[in-house]
Formats: sequence, C-alpha cells, structure tokens
Amino acid sequence: MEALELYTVDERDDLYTEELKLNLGPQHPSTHGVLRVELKMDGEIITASRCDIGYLHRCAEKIGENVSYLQFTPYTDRMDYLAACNNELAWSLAVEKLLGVEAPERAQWLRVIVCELNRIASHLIAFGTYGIDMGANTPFFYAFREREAVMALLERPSGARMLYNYVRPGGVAHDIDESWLSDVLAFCGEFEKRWAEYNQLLTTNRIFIGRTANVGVLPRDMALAWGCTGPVLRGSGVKWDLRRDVPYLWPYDEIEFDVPVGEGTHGTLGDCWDRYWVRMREMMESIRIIRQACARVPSGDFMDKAMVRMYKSPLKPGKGEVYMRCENPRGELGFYIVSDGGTSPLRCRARGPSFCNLSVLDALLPGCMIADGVAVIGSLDIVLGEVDR
Amino acid sequence: MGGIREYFGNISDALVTTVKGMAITGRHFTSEPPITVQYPRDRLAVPPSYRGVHILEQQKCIDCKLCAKACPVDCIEIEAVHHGRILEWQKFTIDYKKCIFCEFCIPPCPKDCIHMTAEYEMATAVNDTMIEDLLTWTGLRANDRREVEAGEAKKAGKPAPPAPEGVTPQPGGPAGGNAAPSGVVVTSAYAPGSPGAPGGLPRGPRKARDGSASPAAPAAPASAAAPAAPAAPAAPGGDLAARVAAIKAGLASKGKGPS
Amino acid sequence: MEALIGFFGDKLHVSGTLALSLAYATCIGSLLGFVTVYAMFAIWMERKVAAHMQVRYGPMETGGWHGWSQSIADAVKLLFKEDLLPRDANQVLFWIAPAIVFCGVFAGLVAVPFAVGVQIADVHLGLFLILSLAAVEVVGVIMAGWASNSKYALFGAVREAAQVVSYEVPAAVALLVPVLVVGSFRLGDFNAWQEEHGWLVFHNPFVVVSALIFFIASLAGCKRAPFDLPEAESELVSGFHTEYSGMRFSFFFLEEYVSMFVSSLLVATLFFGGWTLPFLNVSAMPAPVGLVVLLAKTFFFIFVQMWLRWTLPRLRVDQVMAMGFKYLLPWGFVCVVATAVFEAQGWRWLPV
Repeated sequence: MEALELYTVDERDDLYTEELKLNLGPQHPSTHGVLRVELKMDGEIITASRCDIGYLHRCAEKIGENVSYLQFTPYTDRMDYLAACNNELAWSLAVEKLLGVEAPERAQWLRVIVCELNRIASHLIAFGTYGIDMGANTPFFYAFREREAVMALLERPSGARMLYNYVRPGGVAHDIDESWLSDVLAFCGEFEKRWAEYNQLLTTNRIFIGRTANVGVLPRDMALAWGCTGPVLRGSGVKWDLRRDVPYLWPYDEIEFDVPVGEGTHGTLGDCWDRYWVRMREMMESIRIIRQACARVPSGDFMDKAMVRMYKSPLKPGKGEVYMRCENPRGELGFYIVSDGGTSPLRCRARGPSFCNLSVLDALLPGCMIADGVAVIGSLDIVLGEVDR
Repeated sequence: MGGIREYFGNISDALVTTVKGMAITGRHFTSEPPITVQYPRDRLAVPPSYRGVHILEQQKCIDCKLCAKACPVDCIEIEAVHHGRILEWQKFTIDYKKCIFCEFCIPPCPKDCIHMTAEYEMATAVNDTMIEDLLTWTGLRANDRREVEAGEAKKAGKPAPPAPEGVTPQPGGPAGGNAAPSGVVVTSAYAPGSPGAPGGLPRGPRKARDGSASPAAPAAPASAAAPAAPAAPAAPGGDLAARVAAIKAGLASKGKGPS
Repeated sequence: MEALIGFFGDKLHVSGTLALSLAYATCIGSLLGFVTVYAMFAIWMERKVAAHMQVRYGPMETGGWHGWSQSIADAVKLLFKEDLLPRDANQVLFWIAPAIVFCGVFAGLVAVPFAVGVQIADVHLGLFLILSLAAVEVVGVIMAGWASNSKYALFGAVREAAQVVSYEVPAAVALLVPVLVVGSFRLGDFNAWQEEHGWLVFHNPFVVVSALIFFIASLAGCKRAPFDLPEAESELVSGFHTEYSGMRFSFFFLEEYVSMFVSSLLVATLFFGGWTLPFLNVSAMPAPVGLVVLLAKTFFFIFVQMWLRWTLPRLRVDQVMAMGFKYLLPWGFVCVVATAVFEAQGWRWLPV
C-alpha cells in the first residue's frame, strides 16, 4: 500500500477529499465469519459497499449429488452450523416429501423441541456477538452460559454438542432418556430469569440503543423486494413466519405462540434495534413452544419403521422434484431436490436465508458510518457457512 | 419543550441504564461463581451416548464393509482375507482427519460390533497418527491359524497338524468361541424401541499414539483364563462397570495379539 | 525532592550537583519502578475483574495463585518479540510515537502528592501541569496512526485526536470547581483543605456533578470504554496501534493504565479527600498510612473504570462528540458558575 500523500489545493475551490477504500476484510472480528466487504468511504461515512463472499464455499451442493440422501444430512448440519437441527429438519422434510412418508408423532414433537432449543442457542449467539460488535464484551459470556446448557441438553439424545445429526429423514436418530423432558423444562425456567438480565444489561442500555436505533433502516418494501426472511423481515414489521403461516410440522398448528415483529420502539421501524428485539422475543416464544411441546410428547416410535432400512441400504425415491422450506433462526431455509430415481439427488439446492439477507447489505450500508456498518452486519445475523455453503 | 424533555431524558436514561447494567455485572462479579472448567485439570462430564472415537469388537466383525459404505466421507478402510468363515485381518482404519463423527457407521453393522465411545481427546501434532487402526490383532490368531491349516490340509488330503500341548482347539470364526461370554448383552444404539441413552462402550485396549502396542488391558481379572466372567446382564443403559469388566474379560480370555 | 537533595547532600556528604543528579535519578527511578509494577498489577487486575464479571476465571496458571505473574510473563514475552517496523512506515515518527505517548502521562506523575511529604515536585500549578502533560499524548497517538501507513491505524488516530482533544475541555472545566472551592492549583492544598473541611464531594451538590463530569471525561481521555473507539477492536482491528508489536505496543498499553491511574488519583485527591479520612488524622501518622489510603481510593476508582468498561457498549464517534459538547461541557460550566455563586454566598451542604 502506498503511503498517503498530501494533496495540494489546486484550482478547485474546496479541499480535495480523497475517497478511501477500506477492506472490511475476510479476517475481521465483526464480520461473523469470512466475509469481505469492500467499502468506499468519505471519512467515516460509507459511500459504497460491495460484498465479496465465497471464502467458506465447501461445495456442499455438489457433494449432495454424490452421496445418498441420508449421508447428506450431516452436510446440511454444517451449512448453518449454529442452527444445525433446523437445517437437518428442512432436508429431512424434503426427503420425506419426496418419498411420501411422514415421521411418527413422537418424532414430530421431539423435532419441535429440539429445533426450538436450537433456535434459542442460535439467537443467543446473535445476541452475544452483537454485544461484542457494539463493544460490550460481557453479554457474550452470559449468552454462552445458557448456550452451554442447551448444548448439554441436546448432547444427551444426539451425542454431539453442535453438529447434532439428530433429525433424519423418517424421524429422529435416538430416543430421549426419562429425565430429558424435565431437564428441558428446568432449563426453560432458568432461561427466563437470565433473559430478564440480558435486557437489563444490553437491550435497554442507552448507549446500545444509541448505536442501533435508527441505524440500518430496512423499509418493509425493500425487505420484501430483496427476499429477506426471518427476523430481518419481521423486524421491518412484516408478520411472516413459516411456523405460523405454512406450518411444516403439524405440531406448530397445535401450539400457541406469537410471532414478534418490529414496532419501531426506539427509532424507525426496521432499524437494527427492531431486528435485535425480534430475536430476543423469539427466544421467549421458543420457550413457550418448548413448554407446550414437552407436555405433549406422546410415546411411540422415534423413527418411521419402514425408514430404518435407510441405514443399511440407500434410499431411492422415485423421479420427481420437491421444494421444502422451514423457518430457521435466520430465516427461510429451502431445499430444492431433483431426483432422477437414483440413490443420490440429481440436484440439491439450498436456498439459504443468510445468503438472501446478506444481499441487502449493499443497499443498507451506503450512508452509514463504519461503526454503523458493523451494527448492520451484526443485525442481519448471517452465518457464512450458509451464505457460501 | 420536547427537545428539553428529550435532553434531560437522555441524561437520566444514560445514568439509570448504566447503573442497572453495572448492577448486573457487579452481581456477577461478587456472587456468581465462574462457570468455566479448567481443562485439562477438570473435564466436563460427557454422556455415555457421546459420539467419540470408535471401538471395534473385532472378533465379531464379518468384513461386510457396510460401515465403510455408509460413511459420508469415506474414511473407513477395511481389508481382510477370507478363509471360509475365518478372517485374516489386514487393516480396519478410520481416518480421523476425515471422520465427521456422524455415527452412520454404527447402525448398518449386522453384528453390532462397531461402537462409538465417549472419548474425544485425540489432538496430535503428527498427521499420520490421525489414521487410527481399530484392530486388536492383525493376521490370524493361534486358534484360527490352526483351523485354517487344518482346512487346507484336509483339502490337500494330508492329516491336520497337531495342536500344541495344553491348548484345546476351539472352533474359530466369528460366531463360534470368540463370542462374548454368555450372559453379556451388548446394547445396540439402534435396537428398535430401546429407550434411554444408548451408547458406545468404554474403550478397551487401544494402540498407543506412536503406533506401539498399548500396554495390556488394566484390571483384567486374575482369573482371565476362566471363561466364566461375572455374568452381569447389561440392562439397557445400566451397570456400566459390569459390562466393562465382562467385555474385557471376554477379550482377554480369547487371546489377543498377533499369532 | 528538596528533602532528597538535602538527604544526599547532608547525610551522605555528597557535593551539590552530584546530590542533585542523584536525587533526580532516585525520583525518576522510583517513579518508573512504581509505574511498571503498578501497570503489571493493573493489567492483572483488569483481566481478573473482567473474568469474574464474565463468570470465568481469568489468569490462573502463571505463578500459581490466580496467575499473579501473568503480567510479568507477558512483559517478558513482549520484550522478546520481533521488533517490526513496516517498510513503508515513517520510521522516525513510528519510533518516537510510543515514547511521546508514554512520557506525557508519566511526566505528570511528578506533581502528584502521594502522602504527606512524599511528592517529587511541589508545583504551585500542579493540577495544571498534570493536565497539560497528559494532553501531550494526543500528539503521539496521531503520530502513531499516521506513521503506521495503514488505513485502520489512521482511522484510529483521527478518531483519537477528535475525542481526546474535545474531552480535555470538560475535564478542565470540571476541575475548576474544586479549584474554586479550595482556591489553589496546588495538589497538596487540596489534601490539606479536605482534612479541615471534609471531603469536597460533600461540600456542594455541584461538586458531585463536576466529579461525575470529570470522571467521564477522563474515561474518554484514557480511551477507556465506552469511549474506546480509537482502539475499537471490533471495528478497526486494533485502531491506531494496529501495526505496533512487542515493546512498542506495550508502551501504549502502559500509557492507558498510567492515564487511568492519574485520573483516578485526581478524582480521589480532588474530590474524595486524597490521603485524608474523615475520622482519622492521617497527616499526623507516618507517610505510608496516607499512601495506603490514597492508593486504596485510587484503586477503587480504577476498579470502577474497569467495571464500566466491561458493562457498557461503545459510543460512536459522533455520539462521543455530542456527549462531550452538548452534555458534559454545558453542565461543566453550570457547575463552575453555580459553585462560584455558592462560594460567594457561603452556602454549603456540610456546616464545616
């Protein structure tokens, strides 16, 4: 990089201000993964931005064309690794749709509990890392304390702490032990107290509000036009949640829960604070869902009996194509599978929520200061594993 | 007027929320104990269903290679020479650089002989040691070798070579005398309808990191020669110690090590 | 200092100039030693305070008991690190920037009274001297940012310049309040006055406000959270000292902690009694008692600064400016004027 040179004032009337090109480079504490954003700046203000992705591309979709339907499930884990069960659920439901099977009742309710627990864990990371982006390093540790509890809970039935490989086509992998449901309920009680603490520490903090309110305002039309989903869309006031509107698991129809939307409480509708507050309230709604689901888990099979054969010999759905979408913590995850009757999909395409949410960044950043840029990226809550796959 | 109210509101907001935030961190400073665990001095307890390093009950394995086919990342390599029902083992390795610990290799096994233990500490500085050999012996064991030779002799029409003194020839092969002692039920994680937290067995003797043979299994009962291990029926998910002792006794009494 | 010169001259029968130089050497050496040991302790304390607020342990291994020698180990490590000088950096400025940054703050310690009779230079304008010397560090920071030849560093330097310079003003204005009450800039006088009349903070409600203003302004001057944008880790990697490593980097770190010490000391001395206690006649006791009292108060305020850092998020640069000029400065002036009125009328909270 050449040294900056002093510019002499020439025949122009005002001082020449150089436009600065800054790389919010792939290695950066605040880009939530390996994301590169090229910024053109006028002093502290961003005038143009361009996202550069692909640093975490691992050819997941291509691999999907070469492994069997069951074998692809762990790969879906690793796309949005913070919400592994939700990814697996989308894939499993897509495969089940292709095969025309349905998971047994117990499995469905277990799936709901496990996915909502994972939603809480994912939003906890969003909350904690957002605090770090804003300079408050402490809420992150509190969030991880609760996340540790969730991971310990999910470790018991699945056997792993983060990449669970628990939700599989046909049901779930293992059954839960006797005390698991009561432990989950105990966690719910504990979590509600801590949630109040998070709000006292970060959410209502005047400095935090000053950093996030009126920043990165995403108007409703823009959110819809750019294909944003999840808390990003709901933060702009659009009450759209697949669990409520297109229930992909029938237990969601029978459970009572609200869909929080942004209201412009501290600033403009659709600013960073709104998106953040949607996530916080979603955690509470998830607790509500889990409580109701824990009371209703029936006894029975945890895996469809006919599907157990998939462990020994690969599944061979008939020719066809299917698109299945689920409400991930980050938005709408969709799997589009084209099957030609073989043991591997002909094409398995993932519609990643983070990918679509990230696309709006180039429209939101110009006009912000760089500190605000960090706030906006954090409020979109992207996971590069899902953006790049 | 609204501006002035906002001005003073800002001041009071800032002060109040700062003090409230400080109350939380202050309370954590004084009364909340640290939640971190000082690894490696202390370790977090890991449930028995944890998906860790694999263990193979070699005497049961029939070299069907279903686990290798089930693996999404193709990290299992199995090689054995078949002498009828007797296997001359060459290798059964899992490349832990590739393994994603997904446990898809466990359910296809028809003999339920591969398990995942709760072991996860496998950090190493040498790449090659990440390829873990799960075999407890390679080649043929004494019993098996005799049987193979007897079989070949029979085919060639010659008499069987004599057995060494003091050893009772036992039928080899996977379903024969190499089976686990009676009364021990090894729970499969995938047995239909099995409740509880099913999981892998605690590991038996393994090869050490640098490839040298591991020391002999500790705590093998002194009466290892006697095949009657304490017949502890392993209730699903229960009495782990008895299962450990039974399996180890079983392994020890059937002889291990290269022939 | 005079006492030391006398000590060297009379007791040890050393000639005048030699006595003077020896006195200087002793003073500076002891101060340097104190500052280094303090900085190491403060860094350890910061890590421990941060850790326990974050429900974890912090340093535990180095040295055995709660990692007490972690800072020493870090210092040794930094000494042995490769001295990186970027090829395109302005070598001279890069080299002297840390020195300027550190020396400015360090020199201010000369005028600070640690206990009765323990003061290197009893300057009449002691307070003024400390403030002005502390302001020198801005020059060093801008040099560091510019000379690094890195955009991130430049950002940090420019933010730093704006922030520190603007917060010097409310800090100085807030400090006028105790000066008005006591009537002198000499730091020893503050201690003496508070011994007689009780702590300044109880004197007058506007002194409380000005104490708060000075505390907040000094947080900004030390570049501590919530004003740590010059080193905003999550935005600018490391701000103005991105390109620095090894001992050069540790100078910036030392400067931050010495700044914290100086501002906490000023708060303790000017507002909270210095080495005096309301119920104890500290001046009559031997010097170490006063020193312990003063250091206890100072470390309490340092703890509060750390507490704030680990609680609050960071302010954006325009919010920092707004806070400085729209909130702290006007209220600073209000306090000065009100205190002047109070003093003229002889009103006070406590009847002393």
